[in-house]
Parts: sequence; C-alpha cells; structure tokens
Amino acid sequence: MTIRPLACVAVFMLCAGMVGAETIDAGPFSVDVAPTLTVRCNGETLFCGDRTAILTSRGFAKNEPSPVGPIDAGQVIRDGNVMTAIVQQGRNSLRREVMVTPDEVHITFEARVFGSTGGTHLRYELLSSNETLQDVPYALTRGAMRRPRTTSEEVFDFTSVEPFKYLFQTGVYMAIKSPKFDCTLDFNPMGTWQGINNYGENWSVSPYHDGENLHWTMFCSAASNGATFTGKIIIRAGSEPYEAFHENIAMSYTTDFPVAMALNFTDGDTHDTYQPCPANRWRNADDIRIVPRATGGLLRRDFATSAGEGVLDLDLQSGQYLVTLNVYDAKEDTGPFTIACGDGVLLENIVVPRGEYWNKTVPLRSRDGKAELRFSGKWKINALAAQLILRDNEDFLLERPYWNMAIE
Amino acid sequence: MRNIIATLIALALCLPAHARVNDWLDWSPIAASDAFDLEPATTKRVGFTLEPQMQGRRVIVAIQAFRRSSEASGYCNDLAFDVNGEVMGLNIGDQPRLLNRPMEFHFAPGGSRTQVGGRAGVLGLIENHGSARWTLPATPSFDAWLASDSYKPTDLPDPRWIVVEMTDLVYADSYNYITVKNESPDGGVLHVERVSVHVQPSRSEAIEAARAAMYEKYFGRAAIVHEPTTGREWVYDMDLIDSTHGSEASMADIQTIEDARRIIEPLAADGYTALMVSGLHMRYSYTEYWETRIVPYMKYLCQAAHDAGMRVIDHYDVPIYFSRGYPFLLEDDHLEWTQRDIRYGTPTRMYCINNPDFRNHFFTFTRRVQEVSGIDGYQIDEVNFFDKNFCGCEHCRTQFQQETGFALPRDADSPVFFNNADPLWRLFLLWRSVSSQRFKADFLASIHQVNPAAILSNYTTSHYSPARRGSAWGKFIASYAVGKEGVSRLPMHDYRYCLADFRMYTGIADATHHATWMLWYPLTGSAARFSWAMSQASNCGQWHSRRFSSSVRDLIAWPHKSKKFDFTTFADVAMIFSEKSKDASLWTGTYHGMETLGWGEAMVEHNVQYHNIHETAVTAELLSRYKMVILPQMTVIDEDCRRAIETYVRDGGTLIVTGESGMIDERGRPLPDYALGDMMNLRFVELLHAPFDVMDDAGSFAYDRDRMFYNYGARMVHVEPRDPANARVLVTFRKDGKDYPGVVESTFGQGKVVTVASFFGVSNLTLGLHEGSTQIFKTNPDAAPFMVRLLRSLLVDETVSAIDLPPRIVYTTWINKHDGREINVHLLNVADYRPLGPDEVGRRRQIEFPLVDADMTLRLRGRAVSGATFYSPDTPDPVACAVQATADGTSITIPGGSMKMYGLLKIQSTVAGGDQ
Repeated sequence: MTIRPLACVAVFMLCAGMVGAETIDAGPFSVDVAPTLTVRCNGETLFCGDRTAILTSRGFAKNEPSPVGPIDAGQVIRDGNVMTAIVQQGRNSLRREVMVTPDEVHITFEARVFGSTGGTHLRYELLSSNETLQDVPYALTRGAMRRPRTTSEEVFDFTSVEPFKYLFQTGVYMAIKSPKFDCTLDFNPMGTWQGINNYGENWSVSPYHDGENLHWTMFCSAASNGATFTGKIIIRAGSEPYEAFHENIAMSYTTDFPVAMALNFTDGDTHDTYQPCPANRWRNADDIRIVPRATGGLLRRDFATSAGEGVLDLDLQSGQYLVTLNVYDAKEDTGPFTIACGDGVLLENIVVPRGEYWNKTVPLRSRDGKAELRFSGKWKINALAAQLILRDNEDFLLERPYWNMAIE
Repeated sequence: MRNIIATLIALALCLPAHARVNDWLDWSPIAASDAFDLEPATTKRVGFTLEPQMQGRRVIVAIQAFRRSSEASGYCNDLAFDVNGEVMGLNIGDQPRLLNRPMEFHFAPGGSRTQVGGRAGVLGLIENHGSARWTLPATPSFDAWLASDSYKPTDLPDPRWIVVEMTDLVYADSYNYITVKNESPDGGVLHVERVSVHVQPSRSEAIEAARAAMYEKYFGRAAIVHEPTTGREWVYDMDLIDSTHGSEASMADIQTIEDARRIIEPLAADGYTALMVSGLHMRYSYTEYWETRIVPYMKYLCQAAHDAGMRVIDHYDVPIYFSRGYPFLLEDDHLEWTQRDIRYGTPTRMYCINNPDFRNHFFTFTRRVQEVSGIDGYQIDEVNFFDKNFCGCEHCRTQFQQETGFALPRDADSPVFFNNADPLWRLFLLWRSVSSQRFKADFLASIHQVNPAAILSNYTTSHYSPARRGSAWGKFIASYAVGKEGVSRLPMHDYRYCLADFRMYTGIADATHHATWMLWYPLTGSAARFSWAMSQASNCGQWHSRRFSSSVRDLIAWPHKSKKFDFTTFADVAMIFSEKSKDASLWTGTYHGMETLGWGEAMVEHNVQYHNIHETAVTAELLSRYKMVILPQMTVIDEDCRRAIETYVRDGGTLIVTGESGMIDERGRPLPDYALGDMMNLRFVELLHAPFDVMDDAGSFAYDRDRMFYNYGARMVHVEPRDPANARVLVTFRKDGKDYPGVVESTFGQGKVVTVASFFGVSNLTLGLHEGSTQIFKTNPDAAPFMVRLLRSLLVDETVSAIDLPPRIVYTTWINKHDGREINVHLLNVADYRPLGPDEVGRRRQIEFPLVDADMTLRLRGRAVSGATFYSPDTPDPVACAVQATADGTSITIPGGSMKMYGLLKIQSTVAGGDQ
C-alpha cells in the first residue's frame, strides 16, 4: 500500500500505548486504530461507528443490510497519522480513511456499489450516541447547493424527535457549543469548491436517530443501478465554524485582478485603476531601481530591476496561488534571469528580447501569510498578479488528491 | 507638402508583396480615365486631389494598356508616366514601385524569343535617366496577347494590370496630376484601357474589410456546406433521454456490459431511441477519471445501446475546470493551456480552445474513446471564451494577427478593449466566434477519422439575442443538429413563445440542413405531456426529462408520430431572421429577435402559418414560395438579401417592414434613412416616443409603455412618403393630437411593401418563465389581434385556414418534403391557457385538457385531397375525417370527441410537389 505524502506537516503525537487499543492522538482528538470508527474529542466519544446502506421507499430502519458487508470484518491499515479501513463484498466496497492532526480530523470515504441496489440512494452514515449528545447545543448552517444558507442555534433533544425522523436536513456546517465537544463539523468540504452539485459527492448531512444512536446520514442520489459515493467530513478543534474561513461561493478561483503588485504596482479588482499595495515590499528596497519607460501602457510601462538579487516579500493569506509575471522593455533585452520562491527555483534562464512581451504564470505557495519571490541575474519585472486558487486549509486537494485514495 | 515617405515605408504594409490586383483596386478610387489611344510623343493627364482624411495614406495608380498591333507580336517599353511633372524611378525607398508583379517576368516557354530586356524569355523594366519605362505587350487586344503561345506571360497572376505606388510624389494638400506618355521611338500607338488612382483605406476601413471578409468566409452563405443527411436521419426523430442522472452523474455505475444493459434495456423498451450521456460534465475537472470511468462507461454503454438499437450522444463541457481539476492544471505545462486576460495575461478556469497542446490532448483522448465505443454523436459545450476579456494568450494573439493582419494591443489600458465601436475589437470578437466554430469543426474532423458517421449537435438558449461571448451561429454551421435547452418550465403558459421560438430554430436548421430538438424542463406530468405535444407540433426531436418518463411512456411509444425527417414547413408567411441584425449591436440586436418572436407569437396564437428563414438562405426563388415576407426590425439588410427581397416584391410579393429595418449598415453604423427606402416609398424622419393611439378602422387602441415590458418598443417611427401618390396610409398613429402615417402601403413593381412604423412585435413579446421567477411580462392586449388583422387583410387565399375551430385550438402545418403528397396538421388544445398572476409562476399545477367535443373543420386551398385521417394519443383508433371539395378549396372535418390534448391530422394530397 502506498499512501501519498501528507500535506499538513504538523506536530502530532502518536500514542500507541493505550490499554486495549492502539490510538492516534493529536491535539484534542483521539482515534482508535480499528475497523469500527471511534473518534474522541477531549476524551468524549463523538463518533462511535459508521455504516453504508441503501435508501428504499420504506425509509429508514434499524439493522438495514450493508451493501458492502459488515465493516467490523474489514481490513485496517495504519500509516503514521492516517488510519484506513477497507471492507469489500464482491465488487462493492467501502474505503474509509481517517487522518488525525492537532487541528483537524478528516474522515474521507468512498463507497462503491454496483448493480441493482433495490433503492434510490446510497448512504454513508456516521454514528453518535444519543446519550452523549443529548442537550448539547450547536449552531447549524444549512442550505441546498447554490442556494442561500441559514444558521440557527439549536440543541440536540432526542426526546422531541421521533426515531427515524430527520432532526434537520441539508446541514453543511455545525459548531458544537459544548465544553466537552469544543469542535466544529463540516460535511461539505468539497461542494463549495466544486461549484457544481454532484451525485457522486457528498455535500450535506440529514441526520435521524434510531432511539439509541444518531445517524449522520449523507446521500448519493440516483443509485438504483449503483453508484460511487465519496465524501469528506472535517472535525475541527475550537468553536470557529469552518465557514468563517471558507467562503460560501461556487469557487475560489477568481478571474479578477485581485493582485498584489510590487513596488509602485497595484492592488485592485478589474474595474479599479491601479492602487498602491503597501503590503508587498522589496526586502532590499534601496537596491531596487524603478525604470520608467514611455510605452507599454500603465501596467507594463515601468519596471523594477537591480544589479543584484531582488527579493519581493508578498503578504498573502496562506494558500496556493497562480502568479503571473510580466516583463517588457522596449529599449533593451532582458535576461538571462532566474525567479525563485521559498520552495525553490520557479523559472530560470529567462531571456526576453527587446520589445517582446513575456507573460508567465507559475504556481506559488504562501505559508503563514507570507511568500517571497527572488529575482536574480539580469532581471526586470514590470507587473505581477497573484490569484488565490486554494486556501491553505484546502491544500489536501492538491497535495493529497482527495478523491483518489490510492492503494497499490 | 509631400507625404512623408519615410513614415509610410516604415508602416507595416497591410498587403503582402505582389498581392492580387483586386486587393489594390479595392482601395478607395479617387480618379479614373476612360479608354483612350495615345499617339507617339503625346500625353494624357489624369488629375486628382486627396481629401483631408486621406492624407498620410498610400496612393497608387493602376493602368491597363497595350501597344496596338495587328497580332501579338512582342513587347515594347513605350509607356512612361510622371506625377506632377516629376520622373518616376523604379523604386520607392528600397521597395519596388511596381506592386502587383515581380520586376521581371517570363514568357514564351523555352526562351524562344528575346525582347527588350535582352535576356531570352525574360522581360524586365527599364530605367532611362531615372525614369521608368513600363513594359507593354504589342497586341490587338489583351485576349489575343494572352492567347499567344509565343508571348503569353507565364508567371504573371494579373497580366492586364500594372499597379504602381506613387505616394512619394503626391501633394497632400493640392491638385495632382499623372501624365501618361507614349515614348515610342518607332511610331507605335498605345491603347490605354484605363488609368485609375486609388488611396489606401484608413486603418479602420482596412479592419472592417478584414472583418467583412472573415464573416463571409466563416459565417456567410459560402460557409454553409449542405452535406447529405444520409446516416443522420435518426437525429430528426430521436426520443432522447439521459443515460442515468444528468450532467452531475459520476459515471461510476457501469463497469461491465451487464451494468450497461441494466440501464439501457428499460429505456429501449419504453421506446427511447437515443441516450444523452452528460456525466462528469466538466470533463477537465475529472481527468483522473478519464481512463477509469469514462472509457469503460462509454464502451459498455454504447455496446448495450447499439445492441438495443439506440444511439448515444456524449455531452459535456470541454474547456472548463473547477478546483477538482487543479492537480491536472498544475501538472506538466498545463498552466500554459489556460485562457488569458487580454489585458494582464492572467489565467482563468478555462483552457484555451486555440492552444495546440490542449487541442491535441482533447482530440487524442476523444478519438481513443470513439475507437473503443463508437459514440454516435457529440454535444460539446462551452467551446468558448470565459468572458469578454479573454483570450489574450500568446497563441491567440499570434493566430489573430496571422489571420487578420492586425495585432491586438498590448497595453492593458488600450481604448480598443471592450469598445464595441472600435473596429479592431469587433474584429476580435468575430475572430473568437470563428475560433469556437473552428474548434468544433476540427473536433468533428478528428472524430470522423475514426467514425465518419458521428454527428455533432449544438444547443443554445437564447439565440434571438446577441451573445456577449459570441454568436452560436458559426457553431451551428459546424454542427448537424440544433437544439434548444430549457424552452420553458411552464409550457402551457408559454406556448406562444415556445412555438414561435422554435420556428426560429427551424429556420436556422433549414439554412444549414440540420435537425432540431428540444429539451424541456416541465414541472408536472401533464406539463411533460404537453411539452411532448409541442415538440410534435414543432416537428422536432426531443430530449425528455427522465423525471417524467413515466408520464410520457405512452406518448414515446405512440405509433402515429409524424416522421420529422420527411417533413418541412408549409406556410404562407416567411419572416427573415438576420444574424447580422442581431450581432450589429448588443443593444439594438436584441430587438430584432424580440420583434421576430413577438410577431411570431401573434401568428401562433391566431393560426397564421409562417416560417422563419435565415438570412443566409434568402433567395428570390425561396421567397417566391411565400405569399408574404416580414422583415421584423431587421436593421441590417445585406446586399444579397436586399437583391432577393427587391426581386420578390418586383415580381408581385408582399413585403411587411417593421420598426427600424434597414437602418444600420453592415459595419453596425446607423444609416440616415431606410436602406429599402425606395421600395418602401418612405423617408425616415425621426423616432417618437409612446404614448400614441393606433387609429385602426377595426378599433383604435392605446400604444404606451405601460402595455409592454420592453421600453424599446414604446416608440413609433415618424415617416414621410417619398411619392405621396404611391403611398396609401392604412393606419395612422395619433400622437399629441397629430396624425402620423402608421402603416403605409406602397406598390413596387408588381408587388407591394407595407411598412409598420412601430414595434408591435416587441409590445407583444413574452419569453419563457421558470419556476420561482415572477410573472414580469406585460403585453399590449390589442397588439396581436391588430397584427393578425393586418396580415390577414393582405394575405390572399390563406392556404390552410380554420372554417370552424373551437377557441384555444392552435395548429401548425407541415408537408412531406419528398413528394408533397402528405400534409400534417398538428393540433394543440390550449384551453387551459390563462395569464398567470405575478405570484402564480412558482406554483406547480396540472394542466387540464378538456375533451374537444365540437367538430373541427379546416380549409385547404390549392391542393386536391384524397383523404384525411386524424390520430390522437387521446383516442385509441385513427379517426376518418370528412373531406369535401368546396368552391374555394377543400374542407376537412375532424369529428368532435376525438382529441383532448393533441392530435395529428394527416391529409393525403393527390398533387405532388410543393416543397415550401
């Protein structure tokens, strides 16, 4: 088995010495290394199991058969802070992966069911004990895809809701407001980025209870002939809901000119004139020369250069960016020069002949709100644009492709 | 002051070296001579003066001449000319002055002859004391010269013309003259056929010329290739349904042929003939699934579908990716594939359809899937540009310059960008549309390498209005089928709009010999059934809603459906739809479509049979098949259309002209008067705003902006007859106590032109409504009856008309296009139609279709009828209809009680032909 490298290089502690079960502990979280899912927060059991089922016209029922077989019989694999459970029945399978960091627990699942299912929806459910959650307050954000969201303050009260009836529907984020569960749950980490609803991907939760356990039910519709259903649930420490740093927009990739510009460059949207952007500075400003030219338009007319290395400090919120660099000089050739960032060389041996326009886009990672670009050689830079495509907390998408839980 | 030669030479030449002579002669002519003979040692002057706006441009002289001789007998160097008395050397700067040919040319194959240049078989030019002598043939005529084996030039593309640049010799601010001289040393006489002086077009004129040429090449009549329909008949009659779950399906449910059969077989049993696969819709967001999901899915699905006699269309968005596609985006050089902001070079979430690597990646994979699957058709969408500020990638910039001769600005602040009045911006927008068309055409060609029978379908949602990202018209040309998505969620409420809108699509499809289909989004089972009925009445295939498949199961399997492939429109009235009018302006272009639909809705409601004709299909012969032709706010009337329309009217046709038809030129600029003013016998005076009263003999009514939704229509055109004796005012408009000609009839040739000097179509327009929206449309309730009264007063002997028809029955008529022996009349019961209140749109309701218990009698003129049978899914058996010959046609009666929602009257004619 190969598990891809993890994105979060966080300090976590592996505690293998607990009595009765190996666990992965990090921050307030503790997860048992076992087929049955057990997730604890501050020592309290938040989730005590999970399951797959088919939704039929008969509705919810106790002890429904699982199309993938009993999860207790599944295989468990641990690799560092990641615990993977696999259960298989014929072509049908469930793969569930739990990654534990001091800040978050990610539960990622992929259920695959083929052939006539006898129902309309494939379900994946996390289980919590009613008793544990009874009277626990929470702030719930709900809403259908691409529709307005609403947030309400509520309290778990299983005595007022009949078994097998929904507690609520289309919940996407939840902040549990209890000292024992000081965490938030996000059942929609993918959907808002996706920009499109997808039958094969989870985007909300609609829980019910069976008198004993709460079933955090997620649906994959149109599964009468089978389906592959994937999803991710993120449990975060603290009370700040995921939405606070995760905009409810269809996608984070913008087409504006949102840009951090260097020096006398600008920061503004498409319709603005160029504005000074004080957040971005040349580290060695005294060495930098600004050379004005008569042509090239407001954007590309002037350029920055220096005899030695120029380091541009960019004040960008953490995340993955696309940086577009513009070089133009009507009077003389430019280069060769090299551009590097904190992760290494981005571009090297760049030569831009006199009068030619050079536009190049490269990926750039900002960490801890900072990024740097180092220009060396016979360099010039007329303008640069940085477009945020993923926030730092979303980086698993790139560095650890979410939907492809590769097993080899 | 002389033009500044250095500046001119430094300018990029718009024409390549030795461009064809017509390229030079197309430059603006400013002087020309008639033919003349020039005796030895005599001269002839041709004078000219540059207009102020021409200063700084290049000036050329073009001359046709030969030395008179009894036979083609060789060459001479008798011709010379000067400009303003200055001798003319062979070069201008370091460039040859002779523009349309090389300095030397060859004749007499084999070099059997030696002439003035001294070298065998080669003729050059001679310079004598700094003055050029221009080589001419000695011949009785150009034809004799070019027929001569001994002297025929072998490498001159335009042997008759000599085109010479004289920019450096021309005074910009005073009179100039060219002196043509016969310097023959031996008494030869020169015959000069023509001397003409031309000035280089301005940059904007050159750009407009490039745009016009590009438009004609890719979107004009010559671009439309009528390929045989053999092999794609299935598209015309398809009952199409989603394979599984629509565009958001994960394509994860088929891994084996058994998985596919489980899905296909029930659909085939229900009578569906084709499948639309829409899963993983934004394919470049899911590249990691291409091999693991798409390949097996399409392979097994196609196999199962073909085994069941069904076709498969693969439908998805091509260049778009969302965050799911970021890993692929950041691999290799894929970032280089992205579309770029034309100002900043910043990328967006679409790959560039002109990027060769992207195209290769997409074409290679799709060909491979085709190889393993045999997909029958494709509907690839979003082959487009992200927004108006894209694509400024280097590939696009280079390609644009190569194809047009003009470079896009680099300055982010360029005033060219987003300026629709700038010819370069307009050229760029057109070029983008051409790019979209070319991608689709190239994609289809790529697929055809594997499966020559594969078809390409295309849909658009609002073709009546100009599209900011580019017109879909070019993509229609590259496709084989035209579809319409989401016609209405409230088909009963919107039936007039729906049928009128699809008339427009039928016209587009006819122009390109394509099939049509509809995708409805009904909200209830009864709405789904009525949607099906309207598809039948529009003679088009249908993409059905899977959600309501049980509601239409009996209709899909109904055995009496009209075979759409065999039928075409059968109408008295033609209405021309003009891409050029639509695209001339984002603002006024919208109202050509609205006026078209508004007139169409009136005719639908009142059973006037009409057909939309696309402007590229307009010919005098086609128009002659119709008793009446309407130009609805057709602001741009190109030369081909103008000629066809003029011939149609001159030969006896009736033309209706509305609004501002013919008031914009092909460059999108307003004209001071009607382009068809001579035919209309009217002069444009001014536009006046509503309110005014329409003073009609049948009843006057108010025309004001409170009675329509779009204020653009709340105006009248103040017109004046050019020849009052030939103008008959049928209706007046009364505004502020003063009467204006409102509807004016004039004769032209054997026909007549009726001008409706307002926008009744716009005032009658409602568009489709959707669940959750509110009823916003207001119409002038008097408009449609007025429009139809006017039409019927001008129509002579309507071919199909109602003798006795219950209210709220609408019908459409179609004829067998092969032999004309069968006429189909589709009847729809719209008894449950009622205007919805503002808050009623969101409510779902079942549509009621009360039994039509009264007889329905129609009259058919001009055709002998041998029998008629009525079929309806509401009655189990075919119903024989009473057919009776009358003095003015044949009456056909459908017995009462035969229909609730829909019925199809099939009339057998003994007369063949009549493809209308």
